[in-house]
Amino acid sequence: MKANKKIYLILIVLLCTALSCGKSNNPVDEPVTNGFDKTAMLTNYADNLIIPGYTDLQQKLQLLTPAVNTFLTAPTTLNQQAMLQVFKTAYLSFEKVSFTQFGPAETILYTNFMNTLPATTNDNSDLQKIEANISSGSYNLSQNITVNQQGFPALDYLLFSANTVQQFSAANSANRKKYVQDILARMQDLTDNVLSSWKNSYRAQFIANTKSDAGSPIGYMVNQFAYEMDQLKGPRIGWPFGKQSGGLIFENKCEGYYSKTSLALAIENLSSLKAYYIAAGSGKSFSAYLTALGKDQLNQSILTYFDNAINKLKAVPDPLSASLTNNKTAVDAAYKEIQILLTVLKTDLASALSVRITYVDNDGD
Amino acid sequence: MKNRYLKSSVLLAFTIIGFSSCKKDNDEVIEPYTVPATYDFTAANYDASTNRVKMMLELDTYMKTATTVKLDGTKTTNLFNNTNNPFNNAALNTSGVKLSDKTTDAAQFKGNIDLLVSNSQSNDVLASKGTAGYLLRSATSKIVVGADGFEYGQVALKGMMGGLFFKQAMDILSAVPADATIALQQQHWDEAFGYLAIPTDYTPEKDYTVAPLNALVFPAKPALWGGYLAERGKNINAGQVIWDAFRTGRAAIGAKDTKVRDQAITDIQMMWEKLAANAAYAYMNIPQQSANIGNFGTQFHALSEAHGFIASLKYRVKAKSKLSDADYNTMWNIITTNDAYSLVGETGFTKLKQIATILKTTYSLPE
Repeated sequence: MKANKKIYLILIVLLCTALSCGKSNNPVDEPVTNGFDKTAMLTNYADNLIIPGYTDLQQKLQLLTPAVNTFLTAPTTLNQQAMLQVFKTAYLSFEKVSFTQFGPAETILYTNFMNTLPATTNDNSDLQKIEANISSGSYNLSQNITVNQQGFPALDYLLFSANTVQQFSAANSANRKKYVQDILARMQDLTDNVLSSWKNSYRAQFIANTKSDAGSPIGYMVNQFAYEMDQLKGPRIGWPFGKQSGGLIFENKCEGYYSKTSLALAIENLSSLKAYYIAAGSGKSFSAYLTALGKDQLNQSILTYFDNAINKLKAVPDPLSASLTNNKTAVDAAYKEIQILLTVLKTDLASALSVRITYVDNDGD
Repeated sequence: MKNRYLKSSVLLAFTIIGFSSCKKDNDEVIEPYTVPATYDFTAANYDASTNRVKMMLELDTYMKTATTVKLDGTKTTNLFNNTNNPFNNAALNTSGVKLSDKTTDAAQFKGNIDLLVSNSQSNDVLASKGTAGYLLRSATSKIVVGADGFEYGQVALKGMMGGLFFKQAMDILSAVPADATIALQQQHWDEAFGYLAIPTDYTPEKDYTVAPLNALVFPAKPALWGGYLAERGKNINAGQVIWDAFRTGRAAIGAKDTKVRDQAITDIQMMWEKLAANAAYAYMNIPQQSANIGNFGTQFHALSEAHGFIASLKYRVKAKSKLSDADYNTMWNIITTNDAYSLVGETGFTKLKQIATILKTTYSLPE
């Protein structure tokens, strides 16, 4: 009897241990799921996409400064053209890091200060505020309220408007020149800040967290796929196209309107999203993750939808602002593909990876 | 002979003592009882609580018309006090209960409602710092805010959830152990359950926000705090804990299992308080998200909800709460002495982060 009791006790202990092992095993938390190494994926993203992305932008902004200064010193059309090339290169480089709005970028509201896209309404208060800042010479660009008075959109407006050369040639353009330099300096500071945070502390944190809950790197990135698609559907293409204004077009609300870089920026933004999704086919990407989870059909659909949307965007004649009126069919075709890709990323991808979309204001009251 | 009697006496004494101790043990032996899977208890009656929930819902429905209707202060006062047959549901008018008499700090919350009424008179004016009016929350929805940016409909609703429903439930539950009879304990327990506003067949697995359950109406569907068990309580398992504790404690009362009953009281009180904190925490973070920068409607709606949930924490069971008076006062001070524009305009969101840190640390909230 005594021996039996002992055996039962051992069995019970073993059973409890087995049960508790089962209970605490959350497959979503484990670094390796279904043979897929999430740590390797995160490391790949950090070292081969994110940090190089910020590094490249930092360099492109550094190249922009002398080009801008040359123009400010001698505001000629020729210098403006030269500056446009360097500006475009920098803006395209930014589109590659627009996706990584989490971690250090989120903390300092990086994309908000670098590239707040115009609101849809027929309201030019942001431009009015920029002009007011210049007139008064007094402004504080670190205030959250000034996000739409600085960054790439402000440079776009100040440096490439129709009457830019005249404005900077005028006698009292000192404030205007200073404003441009202040904006550019701040863009460099912010970029330096984010890059340095990534290299010094955030990279380790990012790579170590293989969860998918709110606040995790995987959680953030899936949210960002959806968010960037929403930005494409809304501020980048849809809103200027009139989708929220009953067909009333706001071509001057296109990203990069003044520099006529709208399409290039949108294509770069979308191509970068795809690049993040496949990570150069390295096998350490969301694409590979889905396949490892047995969801390759979804993965293939996403790849197809990415290509459809990119191709349809490339088929829109430049500049976008003119095509909104003159080539509605082409813009509409691109818009449709964007909607399809948005849906699949926001619902199917998120659900496949057990990620909750948290950036949408769907508060129930 | 003496020794024999002594031995027997001693033996008898010990036996009596032994039986006495056994008798004590017998008193502590609880008859086995079951905890039902639903809130299924004979003669459970919490009509008064339920009627107050229904009243709050009607008042809130009216308050929410503020974006298109310039609210009538007489009507909101009548709804608050149940005077002049104000409710569409006629049974409420003759129910014999009202919101005002069970609302702690009633003047404060009535004041919030009055402000909403006043702000709604400008519901066609675009709001800005110093000017009441409306703000867009999305392309298709608006909120009405005061000169300070706060959406008083939310401040009032979430505040009253705290000052009436939460406060009453907390006090009633604390008093249950002192109730003289089992029947009284059960009655009071049910009354507290009624303030949670969940149906008798509630489970945390049910999603009342999608078809077909979203077609249900209170009391078949959760309301107020009941709704928040899912909305801001999922990641702390609030629904399961509170639901289990309410049924368990109620069953324990009938079985005179005071130990289990008292544990259930504590579980409910602690988790309900944590739910308020978790909601406040979520609403502190929403305005700071980069996706919401520039969207005052979304940011101020969130801040106003936070305001109400922070107000609710005032009514926590202090003897058991982890939140100190000092920390509570810090949070309350921040949310009531700064306008919404300054709070979201502050570089680095220092004040909002201060509140968020207190909440996260005190209650060990998940991210």
